[in-house]
Amino acid sequence: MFVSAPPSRTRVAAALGLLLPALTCAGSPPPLLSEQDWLDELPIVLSASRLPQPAENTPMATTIIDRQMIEASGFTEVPDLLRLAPGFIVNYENGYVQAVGYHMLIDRYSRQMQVLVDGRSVYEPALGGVPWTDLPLAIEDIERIEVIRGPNAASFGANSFTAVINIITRQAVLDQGLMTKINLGEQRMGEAYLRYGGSEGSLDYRVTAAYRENSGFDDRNDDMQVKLLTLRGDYQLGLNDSLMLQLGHNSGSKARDNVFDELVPEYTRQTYSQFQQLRWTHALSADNELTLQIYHNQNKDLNDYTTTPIVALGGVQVYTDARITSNRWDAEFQHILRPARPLRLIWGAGIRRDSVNAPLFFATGSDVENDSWRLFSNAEYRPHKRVLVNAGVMLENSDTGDTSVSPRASINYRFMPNHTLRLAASRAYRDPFVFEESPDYRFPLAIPNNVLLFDAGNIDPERITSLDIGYVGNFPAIHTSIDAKYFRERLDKLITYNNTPHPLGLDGKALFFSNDARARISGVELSASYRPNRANRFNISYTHLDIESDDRNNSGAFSDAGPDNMLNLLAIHEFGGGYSGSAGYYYLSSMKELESRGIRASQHRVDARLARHWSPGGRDITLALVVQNLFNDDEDTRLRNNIDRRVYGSIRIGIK
Amino acid sequence: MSLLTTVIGKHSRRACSPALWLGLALLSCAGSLAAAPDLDILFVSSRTSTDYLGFVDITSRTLRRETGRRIATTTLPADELGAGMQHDWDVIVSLGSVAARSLRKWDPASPVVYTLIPGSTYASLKTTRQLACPRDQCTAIYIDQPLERLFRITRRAFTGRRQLAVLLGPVSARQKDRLRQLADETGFSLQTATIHETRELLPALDGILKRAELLLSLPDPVAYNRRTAKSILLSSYRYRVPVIAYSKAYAEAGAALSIYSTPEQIAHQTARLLMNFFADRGAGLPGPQYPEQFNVQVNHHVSESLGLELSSASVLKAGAEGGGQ
Repeated sequence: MFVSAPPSRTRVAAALGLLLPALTCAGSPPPLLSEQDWLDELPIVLSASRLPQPAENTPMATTIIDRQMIEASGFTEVPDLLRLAPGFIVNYENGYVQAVGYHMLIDRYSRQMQVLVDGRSVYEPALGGVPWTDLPLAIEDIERIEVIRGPNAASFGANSFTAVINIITRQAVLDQGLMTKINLGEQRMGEAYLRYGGSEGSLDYRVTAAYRENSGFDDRNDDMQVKLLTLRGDYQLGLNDSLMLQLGHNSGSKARDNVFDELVPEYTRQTYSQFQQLRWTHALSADNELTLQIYHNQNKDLNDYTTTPIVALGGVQVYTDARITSNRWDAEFQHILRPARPLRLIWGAGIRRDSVNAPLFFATGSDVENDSWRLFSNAEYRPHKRVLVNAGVMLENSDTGDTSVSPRASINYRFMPNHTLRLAASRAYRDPFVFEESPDYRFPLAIPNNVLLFDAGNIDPERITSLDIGYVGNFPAIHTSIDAKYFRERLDKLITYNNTPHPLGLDGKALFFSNDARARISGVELSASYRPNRANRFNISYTHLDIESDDRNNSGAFSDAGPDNMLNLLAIHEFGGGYSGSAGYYYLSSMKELESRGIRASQHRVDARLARHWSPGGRDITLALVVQNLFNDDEDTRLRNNIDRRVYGSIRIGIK
Repeated sequence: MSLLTTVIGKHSRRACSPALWLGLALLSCAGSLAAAPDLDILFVSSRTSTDYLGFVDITSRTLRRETGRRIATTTLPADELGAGMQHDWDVIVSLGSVAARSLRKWDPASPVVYTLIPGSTYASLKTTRQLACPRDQCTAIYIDQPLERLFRITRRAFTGRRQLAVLLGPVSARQKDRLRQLADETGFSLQTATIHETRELLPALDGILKRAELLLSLPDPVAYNRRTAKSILLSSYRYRVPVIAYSKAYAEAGAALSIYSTPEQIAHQTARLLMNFFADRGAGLPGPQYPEQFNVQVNHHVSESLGLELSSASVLKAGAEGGGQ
């Protein structure tokens, strides 16, 4: 027996259209499952390259600062988050110029670390360092920060010298809907974030806009207004292929004062930065993935002014054009594969062009360029279930640093379940940035003897050799994990500038860069995390350092460049009913003041946050009150850059 | 009507292209004339991809090898069923949901074994009389795992984790009471969230993952599909909550652990069921059954990254089987 011919699709659709309201009212039957729900293939979501390794398997000591810690800390500046990692020093040159160093910090430029945002190096190629408040990056979009505490050029490329800061933003698919957040507080703090996430077919996207302003430190002329806009699109091309596109723009208006130079008037400078990044990922499995990435960063510092009257020159005022435009273009290919179960390989290659235009610093209106290429490979081999051997190497060539080979090797030995020892050795180089390699910095007045800093010849890359012994322990019964390391670091050929007699020097003397400084650092870092349940979390880190250094003319650039002791604590508690509280304590013993030879006293800082979260009618609302530097523990320093107690309130509303 | 692959005697072929289908159809006629088979089986397949054709191949080979009888098998895509088809098969094996529905339209007279079909779909089609079941002679081998098995393996794999979250959609919500009962029996504290549209997914996930230690996934067309997999896996990872999933693809995509049966395993079970049926036709077909064989796949990257020390899949599987099913 056969049923009659089925009705046409149109008729079925029409009939359904008529029936639909009735069915809905009566409770339309849900669709039925098909075997395809079991048999369909899925794109790889959590591939090896996207997952942080567990601490016991990492070749270097690693700290992960996750979203919960970011929110609980109450920090509104990205570099402050690094206070949560052992060994990291965070200091301020002024309200909007922050500096971060690992074990040592001598000036505002974080030159000795690699900083990546979603795999894009945000190192500024002209003067070096990371212009943190110029980054087109909203702290609200950060998913986690992986901090690799040690040199790791083999995995993270050039400038992965003392440490690597790997900032990972949230995938667009997790930020669907509208989110707005406003922070209002003392010191004229006003911040507004607006984010919208949506999807179109296989495309997930997110747009974030932010406006931030504050009056900086009380005794400084360092007001800041920043506007930023970022876009991220994640497009699934097919089962195995995906594209990530990111665009960002940041424009800032930043006041400047004369703390360092009385010839500099109080004025406002403009900064613009932008980037474009495109990454294609071809994931055949979690262990077999190809990526191709290209990006471009541009930083513009529109910094020009007319000096105050110069008495020595009869009251002349000199126009100073300190504008800098830098561009970085980078392309990288990477392949992760596992040819056999115990062996995992990563290899890749990259090319880069840095281009800088800064007439004041190079005495030319033309672009100064630095081209480089790199080849890298990393192998992870497990000869025994308790032993993990990791070895990597990067071969790098650049115009400023010639050819260098950065190797790294480590062995992780799990001597008992949950207890692992790690022995790691690594060497890395930091190529001179363009200004260190070929400076020609003159006082901007057409007189013969106007040289301030001259090119004294080839500058070698800085070199670090690091050896550390680590222990990673998990104690599930008491919900505690411990990470400890003893380390020795030899930093050679460190680049500093020194004074020397010069026939064209302004006072018969001029500055020049040289590789004459070196430092030996040893110490211990201890971290512990206690998470008895979802409602409580407690993190603590302690660092002890010994720095020995010597340099030309005993200028002491690196002596006391780090504190003897550092401690940080973060406690998070959920009270129930949507209430939560957190407190952070950050301690640094005395060390060299930023940008000067002076020593500053030890610093204590306590931050506290109280928040309430609730979800009425499909909305997520969080109200928070944050007190930074609760005990107003400050001191007078040359920079006068103390963080006074600051209270701010925050409201965050999410509509999905 | 364009037939079919027909395989006679010891010969066996897979067919994919129309030309090959036609060629095999002709071969079928020639073969039929040459020697009458002992048993005549019709496979009706929802698709002609490897999973389905491999299923037919394994079932046929196993039957021939184990019984030693001359077995003719005919494989027909579900959309090719229609008038003019012979009706006197010894048994019809349906592969997948589309095939199951097509058979109702054709209304065969032979006993039917529904395979590669979700239990809920079989039950729903049968209740609503959308399933061909001539003289009450039909049964099923489901593609899904019994919930008891999922709970037992989960408990064994994640010792110490008792906060179990389940995200439900319109289809899987029907199992809510059974889930609660099993959670009570196995010592889990269960939390569920039910969504009716995909846009409710992220808030619902945020709600349950905050307190969860494990996320058990159950197939549902709204809650779990290719579009939602990314959100579910990324969100769960963000909360450091391992996902227990139901397919090989999920384990590869990022679930910490997956429990599933392959079409091959179900094909072997189908062959065994048919052998028993042919040995004693008077006893009729047995009742619907879940897959006897299954795999436990651990995603080592994910589980290690979450700091989990999952026992090897074989140990988990053995443990679960040891518990009796």
